[in-house]
Amino acid sequence: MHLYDFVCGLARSLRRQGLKVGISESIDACQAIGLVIDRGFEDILTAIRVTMVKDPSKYHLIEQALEEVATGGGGTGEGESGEQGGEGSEYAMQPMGMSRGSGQDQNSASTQFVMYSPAESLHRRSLRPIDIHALKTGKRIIKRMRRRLAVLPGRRSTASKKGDIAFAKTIRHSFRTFGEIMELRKSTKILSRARLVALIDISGSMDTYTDWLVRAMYLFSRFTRRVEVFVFSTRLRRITDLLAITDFDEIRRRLSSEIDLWGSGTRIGYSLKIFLDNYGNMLNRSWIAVIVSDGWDTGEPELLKFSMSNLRQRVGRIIWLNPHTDKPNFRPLTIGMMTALPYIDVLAGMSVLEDYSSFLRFFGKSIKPLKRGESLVRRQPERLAL
Amino acid sequence: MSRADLLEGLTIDTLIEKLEKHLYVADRSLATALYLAIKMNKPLLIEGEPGCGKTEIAKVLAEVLQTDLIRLQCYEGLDASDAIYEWNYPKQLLYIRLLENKGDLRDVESELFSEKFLLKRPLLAAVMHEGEIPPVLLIDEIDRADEEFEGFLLEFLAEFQVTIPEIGTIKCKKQPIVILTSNRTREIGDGLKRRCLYYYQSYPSREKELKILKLKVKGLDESVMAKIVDFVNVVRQRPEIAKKPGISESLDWANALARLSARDLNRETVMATLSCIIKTQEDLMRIDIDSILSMIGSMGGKSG
Repeated sequence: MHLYDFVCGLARSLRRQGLKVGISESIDACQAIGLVIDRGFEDILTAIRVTMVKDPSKYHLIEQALEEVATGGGGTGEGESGEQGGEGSEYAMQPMGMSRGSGQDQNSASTQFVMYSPAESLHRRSLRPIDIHALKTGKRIIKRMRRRLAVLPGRRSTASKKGDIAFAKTIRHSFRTFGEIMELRKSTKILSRARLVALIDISGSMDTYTDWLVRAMYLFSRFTRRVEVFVFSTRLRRITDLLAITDFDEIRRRLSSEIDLWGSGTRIGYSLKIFLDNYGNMLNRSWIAVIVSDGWDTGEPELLKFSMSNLRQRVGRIIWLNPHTDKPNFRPLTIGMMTALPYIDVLAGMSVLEDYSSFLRFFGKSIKPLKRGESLVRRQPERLAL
Repeated sequence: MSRADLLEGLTIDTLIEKLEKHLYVADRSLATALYLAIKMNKPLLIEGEPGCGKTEIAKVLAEVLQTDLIRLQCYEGLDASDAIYEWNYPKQLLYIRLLENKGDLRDVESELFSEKFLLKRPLLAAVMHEGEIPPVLLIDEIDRADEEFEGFLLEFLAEFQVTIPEIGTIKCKKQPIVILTSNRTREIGDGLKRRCLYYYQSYPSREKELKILKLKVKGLDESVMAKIVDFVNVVRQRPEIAKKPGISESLDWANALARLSARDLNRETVMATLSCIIKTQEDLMRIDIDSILSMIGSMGGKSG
């Protein structure tokens, strides 16, 4: 097999598995493999890694792709969008009622029966579209929210009458008067916005709210880049990249087809641990974590406790939105809530999401602008009555 | 061998050898990535856990290639005046005053905005570098810079030229060897990743870490070094520890124990020096020294 055919087959196979391997990556790979081709397999593998797979969590896909190329399975060029080819193998367990409608499926339906299975019950679901009115309102609201997130003095400065003397700006300005300093220019630090990480429970018990939450997160991602969004049930998936797509219909389609965690059980502690293991490095005290969950956890309470305390250490504030908090006699009696409560700064119900103004009011209260020199510190857990 | 020949005759094996001579133990995969970055004239983005030798590799590579290291440390709010160039305003002002006294103000503008009043920041310094071997440009902790700066870098890494309105466009004669590092505090944009070769630097294997300690730490018994490596490896695997120690922490710890002339790794020595590897109060409270020591004791028993 010629080197170019090999690299093209490999690129196609990796693309089918969801990796972004473009023409430039293929060209680089040809050049890199050409440079080490007379060395061992290990060097060729490194050349493939450094040029084509720029995510260490996806290194395992190379082996599969190499196998496909060796068996001639990578060369058809069809199904490169990552939809048709990969889906069948990755999601071999189709839930009932989601078969592809062939006659054979219909015949076999009569022989299906329900029983316990240790395998996870993972579902897909379709999301409602977003209308232009919601987009406009959302844009207005999020712009106001963004201002409220500006709480940390940053390194950038802006001209201000009350600030400190800016030497470079003063000198630069004095050139207009032939080097004579006529006016002292002053500047103040621009406030940086806190970063937000949203961890949204999309298990069965949260089904009523997931639609709204995904749309809210889409709007948020549209107007600020300082947000990371994850969904979890029994596993965790980062959807920040998906939400960065402009077309919401495309997002709906991909969320429905690619995320298979909708409506299953919940393992909050495990999901948080995976989040911290993989993305913990990005967190610091300027981050605000928003967890949206009802606290029904089927995992180990110890793991949840450990993950929450770990998260507590790494972020400035933890806000937990729980739909049951709205109930008049609510007491956090689920093991999940009891375990997590000591680490939460603000506990609120989903009623804050009923309309945009209460949502804004909630944000204003829970993310109060800080005074100069004050840091984001933990406050006593409180319930917001809205 | 001339400097140019040094670059020309470079192979993966010689690179590993030379790096080791400069006290850097590199995996073959890292050496291959560096070799490819040099030969393909492509920037190399190295991501990985803090303290695993990402910055060090750029320093050592500059030493190996006998060239200059130009370092740009990224941080939030980093802008063009800190990264590319800035006019030396106080010097310009003084010059104007001198000319005023002399009464000679001819060609003042072209003089005032010439190279002698230019403060070269790292990117411009890399572009204007004049040497037989191109410099190693280290863009450190790119994840700490804003997305806007990352966007600017896309253009710089594609063209390797800088435009100064008063002077014109300056293009580099020899493309610098660019190494970018990231601690993954945020995801690097796809555009930048696409322009770079990519290498992920994870924690080293036990053997590699022990080799690094032997190479860099003097005056410490080998059995103590082995225990340090085992201890640190166990700490890294403990989920309750939020800030995992890297190789630099292992080296600090080994150096501290060498200064204290430690003969063994027991509870007392660990308690006295634990702050070398555990750097948060919560982690210090969570760590169970006795269980780790008994664990590495049994590990030593098995291997011995």
